[in-house]
Amino acid sequence: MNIIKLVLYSTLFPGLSFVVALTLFHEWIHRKLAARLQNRMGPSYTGPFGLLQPFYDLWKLMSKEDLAPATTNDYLTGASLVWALVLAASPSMLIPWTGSPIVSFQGDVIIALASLTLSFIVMYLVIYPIRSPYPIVGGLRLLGLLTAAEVGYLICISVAVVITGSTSIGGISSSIMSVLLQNPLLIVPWLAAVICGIILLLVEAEMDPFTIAEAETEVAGGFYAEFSGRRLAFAYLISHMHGTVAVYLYVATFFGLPVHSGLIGFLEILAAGVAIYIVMVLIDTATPRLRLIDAERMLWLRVIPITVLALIASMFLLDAVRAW
Amino acid sequence: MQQTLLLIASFTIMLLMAGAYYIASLLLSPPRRKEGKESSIYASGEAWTPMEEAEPPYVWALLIFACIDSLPLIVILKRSFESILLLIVALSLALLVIHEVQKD
Repeated sequence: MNIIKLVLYSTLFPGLSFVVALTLFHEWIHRKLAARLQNRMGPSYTGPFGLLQPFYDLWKLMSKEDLAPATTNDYLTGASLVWALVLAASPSMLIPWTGSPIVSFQGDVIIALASLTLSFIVMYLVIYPIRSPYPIVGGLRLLGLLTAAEVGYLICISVAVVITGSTSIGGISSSIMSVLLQNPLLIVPWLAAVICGIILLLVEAEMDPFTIAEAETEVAGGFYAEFSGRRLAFAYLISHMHGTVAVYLYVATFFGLPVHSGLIGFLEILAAGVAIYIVMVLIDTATPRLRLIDAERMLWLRVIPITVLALIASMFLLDAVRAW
Repeated sequence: MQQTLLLIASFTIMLLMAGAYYIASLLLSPPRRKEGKESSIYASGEAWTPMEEAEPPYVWALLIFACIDSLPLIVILKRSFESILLLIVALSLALLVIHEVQKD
């Protein structure tokens, strides 16, 4: 691959610009759908169907005065936000958007998940030195939730890894459906992982019922309380990007999409990602925020044990099928 | 190896681009007001005292997180009954620790 192609892939498609555009598109879906469910109009005037509203909101936040507490280290904050943004966007290079990923190697699924996790940890390092109680409390709540969610999500993806015997996203995506069709018994653990995966994606995307970390009345917005202007714009973008990339990682690994290559393949994976996101928005709109203890109980006592059982079942069923 | 290098190169290019975005965003925002320390502005809307003796981010939580996160990998790589047992024991321990912490 020559350097010009690599620069184009990294900056345009499926690199940073594409992930930012996709994230803003998902943000529009979220706001429009939630508004319609609540009998409101939602974004309507900026661009066709209000599609450009999230972009203009981002632009507006960036052009506001950047207020920061006296304890903020400007250089550390800037560097950490840039680093977190790239960590959240980089797994896009491993997702097979048009049939085959730009970069693919055995073990890349682990790199993608680690990258998403690190993105949050780097974000936490931005707010910790500020020493404000609000973001620290919000950050610790989020850390508690994400510890459970990342573990569960990794075990969920492990089910797909065990079923296909591949640790690359491209490899899993190209073979999972054929393996499931050949061994229908494996559909049971796969389905359990798919359902648990959606619950864990809600935590990754910071959606209800798992939004206790940013409870406005308790911790003044929590994690984001001391951000304003362009820092807040970047922080929101990273947070939404985290959820968006996790959705497409989920679609590629569990549904073996895209089936075709080229534009049709891209439309397939986009449609599946949007469908999963719509399900998440419906849950987000229909459920109230859980208390931290209840959310932790739900994740550690119900969701994670089910994912572990699904992982064990997939291993034993696969061995049984082979022995048969 | 070549694919890993490609990922690192692509990551670096994205880092440069995101850095350029961040610097460009400086041009969009108006200059920050110069105010004395006595009238510091807080984005959260109210003044607070910096937490001088703030606990460091829960190191133990990150450690548990890293350990448990690595266990499913062992299960994938080893694919043995012992590795599953190890995973279940680790998850139970993590659950116990979290339960104890939340009691405080």
